Amino acid sequence: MRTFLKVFAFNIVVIAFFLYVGNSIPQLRQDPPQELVLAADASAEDFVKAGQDLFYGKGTCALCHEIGKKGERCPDLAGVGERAETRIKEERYKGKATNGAEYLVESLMEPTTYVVEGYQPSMPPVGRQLSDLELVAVVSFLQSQGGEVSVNGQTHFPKWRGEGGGVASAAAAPAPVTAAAASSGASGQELIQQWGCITCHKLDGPDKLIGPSLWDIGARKDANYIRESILQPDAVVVEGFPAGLMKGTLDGSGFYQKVPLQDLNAIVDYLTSLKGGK
Amino acid sequence: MQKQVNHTQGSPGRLGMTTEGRHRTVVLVVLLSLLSLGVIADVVHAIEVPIPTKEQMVYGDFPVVGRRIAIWAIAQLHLMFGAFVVGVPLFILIIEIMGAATKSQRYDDLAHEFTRLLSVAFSTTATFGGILVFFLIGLYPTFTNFLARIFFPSMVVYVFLFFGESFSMYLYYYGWEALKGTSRRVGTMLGTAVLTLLVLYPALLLLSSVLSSESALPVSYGLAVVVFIALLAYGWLAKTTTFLHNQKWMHICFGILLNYFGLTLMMISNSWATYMTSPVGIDVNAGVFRGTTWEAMNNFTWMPVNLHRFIANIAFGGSVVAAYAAFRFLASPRDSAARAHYDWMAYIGNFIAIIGLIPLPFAGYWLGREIYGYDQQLGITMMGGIFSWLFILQAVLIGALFLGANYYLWLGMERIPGSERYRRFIPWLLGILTVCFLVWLTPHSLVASLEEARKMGGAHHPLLGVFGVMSAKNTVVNIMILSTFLSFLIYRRGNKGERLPMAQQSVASKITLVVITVIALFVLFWAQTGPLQAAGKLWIRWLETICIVAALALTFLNRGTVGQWLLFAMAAVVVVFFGAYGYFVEAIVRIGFSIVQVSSVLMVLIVGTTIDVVIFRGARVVGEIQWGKIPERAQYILFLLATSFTWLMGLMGYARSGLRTHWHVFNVVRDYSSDAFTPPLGFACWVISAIVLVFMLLVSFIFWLAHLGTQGHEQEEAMLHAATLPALEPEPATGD
Repeated sequence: MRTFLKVFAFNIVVIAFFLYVGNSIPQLRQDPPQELVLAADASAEDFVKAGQDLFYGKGTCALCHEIGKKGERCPDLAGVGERAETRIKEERYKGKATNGAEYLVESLMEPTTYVVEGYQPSMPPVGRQLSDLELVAVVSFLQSQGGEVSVNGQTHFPKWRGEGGGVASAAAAPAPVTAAAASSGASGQELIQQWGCITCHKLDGPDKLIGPSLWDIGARKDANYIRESILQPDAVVVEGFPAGLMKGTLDGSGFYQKVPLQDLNAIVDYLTSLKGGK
Repeated sequence: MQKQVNHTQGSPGRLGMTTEGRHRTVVLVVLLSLLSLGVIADVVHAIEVPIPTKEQMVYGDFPVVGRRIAIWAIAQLHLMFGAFVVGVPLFILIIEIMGAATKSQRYDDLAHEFTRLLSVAFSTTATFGGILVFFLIGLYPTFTNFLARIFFPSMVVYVFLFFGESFSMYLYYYGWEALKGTSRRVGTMLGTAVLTLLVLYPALLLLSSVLSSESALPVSYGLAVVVFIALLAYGWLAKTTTFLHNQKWMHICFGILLNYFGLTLMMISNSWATYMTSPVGIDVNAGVFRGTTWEAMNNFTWMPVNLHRFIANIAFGGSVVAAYAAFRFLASPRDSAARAHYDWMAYIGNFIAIIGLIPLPFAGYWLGREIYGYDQQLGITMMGGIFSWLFILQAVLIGALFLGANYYLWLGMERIPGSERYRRFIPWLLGILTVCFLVWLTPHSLVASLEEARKMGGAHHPLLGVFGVMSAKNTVVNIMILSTFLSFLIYRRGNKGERLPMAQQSVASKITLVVITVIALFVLFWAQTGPLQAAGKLWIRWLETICIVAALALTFLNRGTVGQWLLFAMAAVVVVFFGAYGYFVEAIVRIGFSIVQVSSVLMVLIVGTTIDVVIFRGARVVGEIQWGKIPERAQYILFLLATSFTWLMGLMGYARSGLRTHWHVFNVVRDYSSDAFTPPLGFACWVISAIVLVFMLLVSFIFWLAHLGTQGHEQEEAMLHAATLPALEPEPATGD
């Protein structure tokens, strides 16, 4: 019995050590992505915004695709809206799409139909996990990258999603474009404090902290740039500041999983209003 | 003497089998075969199963801990016991065959003792399996129903295979003493022929699929009949005693069948679990699974998981058996025969665990690669997303395993006369292992306070950040494997003195050495050509070939150890070169480098071991191993290894399952329950620790039970073994 107790105590110490190590490293909890409930009559701008959220969130496109930077795994999507229109005319292209929007849908539903030169056919058919209106939203966002948005809530893609899906889904979803999770109701300024942005960014002066000062960000950049900087901080990293830190911090705090769309809009609006004391 | 007479005469009545009983058995076997055929037909029959929608999903509740932890704990405990029950029979069988081939009773008894542990663990595994099914039905009924509708034919096969495993295991255990000696009775010959046929059947099936892939099953039945008739004719006409008259062979056949059943059971249940990660046959537009059960089973990650678990089960089983022996060692009086026996048993158990541990990272690479291949999203979630930090913890665990395993070998050298010559290597090996361990557990992004992050200029440390990437990790894990292999070699040759010249070695040894080297070279070419071509470094392949041929030539010139050093140096250079070069190439090229590194190290393991076995055959023995004279702390290392293995299994179970994030079946059946989130690693560690603790306590109780019933007999056996404990090698020593 004495030997057993000694061995038991030793094993407890070993287990406790692993437990300690496991609890000493960063703790990340991943919540399911928020479902976007879209209305068929939402504006093109709303679809683009929702598509952008999907691009960096539920769609997980940004895990591999970059915008404005050559991706190591997948192609740069800057200008894809324009490219989509011409790609279907290429000799190499053997798919079913007859216009740019369809090409983008095909890329999401059957990504191996056309693989950009220099890349592997490694993209999963992510379009399959999107609802019909979510698909329209992603296509809207992609078209907005250098092209014109030609789709809306009434558009559907029977070649890949069967007949009538888009309209039917739209009819069943009367709510406006909004996150399913309720907005916190807090102002942009409050949200910025709540999410700890001010730890790294100065809002009341031009001095830099870990990140660049944001006190005049609204005078220098537009809302789209600010939104992208939050959703994909490493897309454009200001010179002299570390890449990966903001993304890691926001990932760690669960920002991307938890923040409702309205709250994100409130933060963007508030930052856009910062003009450097002017 | 009486025992021997019985064996020679055969024992028709020993198993209580009357003529009527035999007829009943034959009828039962025929009926089961027909049923199996029906089930096989069902497995390849296309079905359509609707994917459950959010509205259809139903969940049950579990008091106090909730449904997720309840199912997690039971599934993990079932897996741990299952791993033991599937892993242990393989090395029991090898030990038994070693005993039979060398006519060594001590190996036979050791295998028998391992089987005793197995038999008591078997029922616990089945009990946890039953609880798991009940919990799945009660807590996740809709999801379970979806999977059951796809996999039902395989579940029916599973049940019958389970019977097969139970019967073969109990026949194997209880028939150990009964099935010995030889007999020329018709019944014995017939039984052995049937069992031999069953053992050969997978090979016949493979041959049939090569001959005719479309009608492999009917062809295999035809071949089986031909082989059966040939076996009977051989047994009947042979004038001398053949293997068909050998009852030990009959017993070994039961052992092989036990392994067949166990492995097939493991593979079937793996197919259900892997389908959840990499589903196939989904028609998204129609919202249904459309395909055959076989197609669902043969999903993307099935085979990598099968291989990974197969190897891990051996390592895990070996470590648990070694821990059992370590406990018995500590509980035995100092300098007793029992202590010597358990020291030897622990060494064998640990040796098996290390044999399993060394190739495990390679199997892990393959699994990781297939996960990436199936869906990049899964791969990135695993390595770059929420689970990226988990691999730091995994590095700590595997580092503990490697350091512990090496330390045990070094401590074991203290009981080997002559090993003093090699102790000078130990500080160097320790240094290399420690440095590699530290590099392996260096994360890419450091945990830092804001102040520290400001000073560093980001989350990546300017120097240590370099060690956080895969190029560095791949390099150090391969160096750790090489170092462990070196530890094993110096342990192995600890008490070996002057070697025989190669001219005096048998022709068979020399041919084996050449054949294995050629095969290793062939595998090396096959594995490396693609990645080396992509990197424009095909010349590396020729450099390796020159080194291998030179090592072989040196061996034949009685400079085998120099040849081994050459191989070590070559692999180390290849590993470090591609580790460094990986920083300068794109990811798609870099991924291929891991294959080059791994194959180079594997080649050293295979060719190096073969050279070692050949050159030390018949070497002078400096002194016999002093079994039982190992320090007591070495036994605690064995507990560390067993606990680390078990904990690691729990951790990787969390990773494999958690990888699906909020999906029951990835991208197909979504988790709509309140448990859909992926818990943080710290929480998972608490659950894993609790599971490991429960497993350890249950195993202790089970082994205590096994020990209780054999206490008197065991003492007697230990006394007998102590007188005949082997030296490091089973072959007889020659020289002065």
